[in-house]
Amino acid sequence: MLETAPQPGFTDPAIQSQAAFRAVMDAMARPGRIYKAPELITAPAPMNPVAAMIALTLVDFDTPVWLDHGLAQSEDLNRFLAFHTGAPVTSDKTEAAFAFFANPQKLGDIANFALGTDTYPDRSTTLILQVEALTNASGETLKGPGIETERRLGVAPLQPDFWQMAAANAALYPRGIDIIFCTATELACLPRSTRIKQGS
Amino acid sequence: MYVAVKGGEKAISNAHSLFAAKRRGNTDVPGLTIEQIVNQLSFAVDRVMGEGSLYDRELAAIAIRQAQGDLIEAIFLIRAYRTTLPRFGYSAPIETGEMRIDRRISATFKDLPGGQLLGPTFDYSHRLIDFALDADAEVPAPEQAETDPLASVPRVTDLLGADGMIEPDPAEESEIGDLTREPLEFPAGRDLRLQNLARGDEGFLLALGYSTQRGYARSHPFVGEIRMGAVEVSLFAEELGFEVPLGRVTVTECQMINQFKGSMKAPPQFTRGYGLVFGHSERKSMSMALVDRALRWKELGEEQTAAAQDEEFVLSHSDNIQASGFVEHLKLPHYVDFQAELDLIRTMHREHAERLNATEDDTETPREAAE
Amino acid sequence: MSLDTLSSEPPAYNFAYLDEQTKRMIRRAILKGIAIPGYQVPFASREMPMPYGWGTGGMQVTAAVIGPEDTLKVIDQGSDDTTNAVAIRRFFDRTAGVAMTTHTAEATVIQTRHRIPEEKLTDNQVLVFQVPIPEPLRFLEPRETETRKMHALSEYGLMHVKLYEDIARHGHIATSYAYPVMVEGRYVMDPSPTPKFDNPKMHKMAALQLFGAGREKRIYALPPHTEVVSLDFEDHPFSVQDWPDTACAMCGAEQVYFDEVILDDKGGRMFVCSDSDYCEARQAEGHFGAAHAHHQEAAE
Repeated sequence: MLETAPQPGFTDPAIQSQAAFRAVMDAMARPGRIYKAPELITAPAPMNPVAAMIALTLVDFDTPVWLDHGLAQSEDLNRFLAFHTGAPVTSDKTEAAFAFFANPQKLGDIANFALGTDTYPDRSTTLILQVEALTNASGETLKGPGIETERRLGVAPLQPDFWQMAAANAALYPRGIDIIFCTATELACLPRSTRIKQGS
Repeated sequence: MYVAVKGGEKAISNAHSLFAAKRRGNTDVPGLTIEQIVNQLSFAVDRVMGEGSLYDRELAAIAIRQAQGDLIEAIFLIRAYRTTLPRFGYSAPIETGEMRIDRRISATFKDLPGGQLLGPTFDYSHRLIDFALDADAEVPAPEQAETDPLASVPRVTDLLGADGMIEPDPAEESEIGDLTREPLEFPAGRDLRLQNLARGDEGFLLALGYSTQRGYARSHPFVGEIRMGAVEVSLFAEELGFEVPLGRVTVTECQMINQFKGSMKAPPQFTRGYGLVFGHSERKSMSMALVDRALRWKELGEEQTAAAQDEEFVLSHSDNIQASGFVEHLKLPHYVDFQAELDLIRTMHREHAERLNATEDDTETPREAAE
Repeated sequence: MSLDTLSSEPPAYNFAYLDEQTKRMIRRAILKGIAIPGYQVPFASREMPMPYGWGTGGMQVTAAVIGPEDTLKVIDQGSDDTTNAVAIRRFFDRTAGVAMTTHTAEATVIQTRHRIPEEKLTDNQVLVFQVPIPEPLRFLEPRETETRKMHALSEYGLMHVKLYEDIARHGHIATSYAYPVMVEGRYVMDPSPTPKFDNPKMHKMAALQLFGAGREKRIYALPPHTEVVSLDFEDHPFSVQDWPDTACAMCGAEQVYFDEVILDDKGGRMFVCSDSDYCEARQAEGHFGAAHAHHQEAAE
């Protein structure tokens, strides 16, 4: 392979991006529920396949993208995203429509991203966090729209104060960020509307 | 006898084939060619290109033929096609000062650099039906003055601007918006207002423009200049680093000059209203310029008194595709909502009658007592 | 415009008609709508090959959501066979080629105009509403700049005043369809012009509900199990239409939403299910109403 040729994207964009979107939509509509992601593409390290699938499905030249240190360092990845999405990469967190993290233990303060406004709460950043493990058997207790009674969600690894930040984010509702967690094969969502009951 | 509504699919098919036959009409009469429409119905073509916001004469002509001459329907066909086209980029602003002019008139100066050029126009013609036109009579070749295609014809507003008699063209600081890619938000900048008006319904803008002349937000307009002709369109190619010419389009530009006595915000001077449309359409470009000027009340510190100044009202109702769709959707079944209303009205009707009876009983009782 | 030209003539259109860039834009809006239930997300609605006001919003949402694995049902006024339902179904048949059904239980995506099916929807279904005027406050305040502020501040006094004026004048709330709801205690939302009979079905529905308003360029959503409460007052609680002692003339169903059918010019009328699939399924199960016998005879 030529050094300059980026890794391939979707082979059938209309069909594959639909399958990917459906997984994300279903997950966003049922916060905390873990969904198996369709196996569609691989991406240059350190981006995992599910995060890459989300990028190619939702990101384009209308959506500035913010990358964490590990992702930003990868030239292959930058080329991959530029080629397949055309999205401008930004270092301004408040300008980002999507922010991708390869290292969920180094998130900083998530409230530094765009939180939307009272009149346009939709003008906010969506965070995509690559994690190692997701479980519904333990973890935080989630309540709210999309959850019939309660749902447990465990995510690892994460920055230690993550759930405090997430609770503070939920308190901003209807402003706030939405979060998609993804392992190499699965995903789960934490929209701003989800209330978090900590400790368990 | 009630038969459950069935067979919608077949009925629709039949309706469409009936419609196709109606479009073609009597097959003993030759079918219309695209060339005929492009050449002989050029104003219709121009309107469809303008409000369809897609510059393609042949496509507009095809749409007019398909729509049986219903121009709003033809505009709809163009819009629905346009929306599927991929975007390669945004062209550089056209320079109307370098237009290859076919027609140029000013109502404010008898003579001016570049001169008055009547060009092709309905104006000053007697509106008498020309029965001879029915035949395919030969048209004598028109006489045309020699013009220097390279001579620059400065815009009247630039001439006035040099004296400071007219406000400078308000600068657009932010990136130029595109309401076909981002939903319109209020208040809208002038860029989006002008885009909306350029795509807006000619009849709607004509009525609004007319209303300003009759005193609903009067703006003392003068036609500084109307010019019509071909301008070059070019695209800045990022990868090449220079502008690439794409071709020429014909546009009509109207610069209205409006007397203005000054306000807390702006000194006494002439102000501007601007109209620009694809093809040859003076009525539309003039209406657009009048409405543009009316919509500028806030920046000039004027009072808002009339419909033509009301941005949300004007911009939300100017699009004839949205308007005709929503008006005509009333033809769709509304059985369910109507049933809900029927039920409600029946209840209220009954309650009304009961109340009426109750009061009648009240008034009858004392009468009986008196008897 | 004939839909027949869509599939048969070049240029070929993308799967489900919309280009991928447009789908991405709509999909992003849908996700925001789901994350903020009841909030109207502005989106750059496209001209569709059907007129504005005829379901272009619902069609754009369906086109962005639907895939080859899906089974689509399209209803208008509760029926699968009304003209608009047929036209929209044909559009997706030609442009997406997905499986079609009239059976509510078989559908994974249901696009609807003005009704929610009588049959309870499930977790693996998506209900897409066509919305003409998404702003519940629009008829009280025509300006978007004002209504957007009211939503931002949760300032819904105007709506309560309007409903209370109804009560003062008529003794009850005089809104029979598009009856406003409060979503998760935060946003007042227009349920689209469904009869208020259907409002309770929205509350904690197991299916995802998506709303598309094409002409007005808004998308909004209700995730499954979202709290949806019809606005009312303690002394005037919300109630739905009911037809006491009325059963469907075809299938005998009670406690459903009815279409009233005028039989003659002497005041003769009967009531039949508005939900045509529900009615047919009941008849297939052997439930019959008063008119069914006549109907059978006439058909023979």
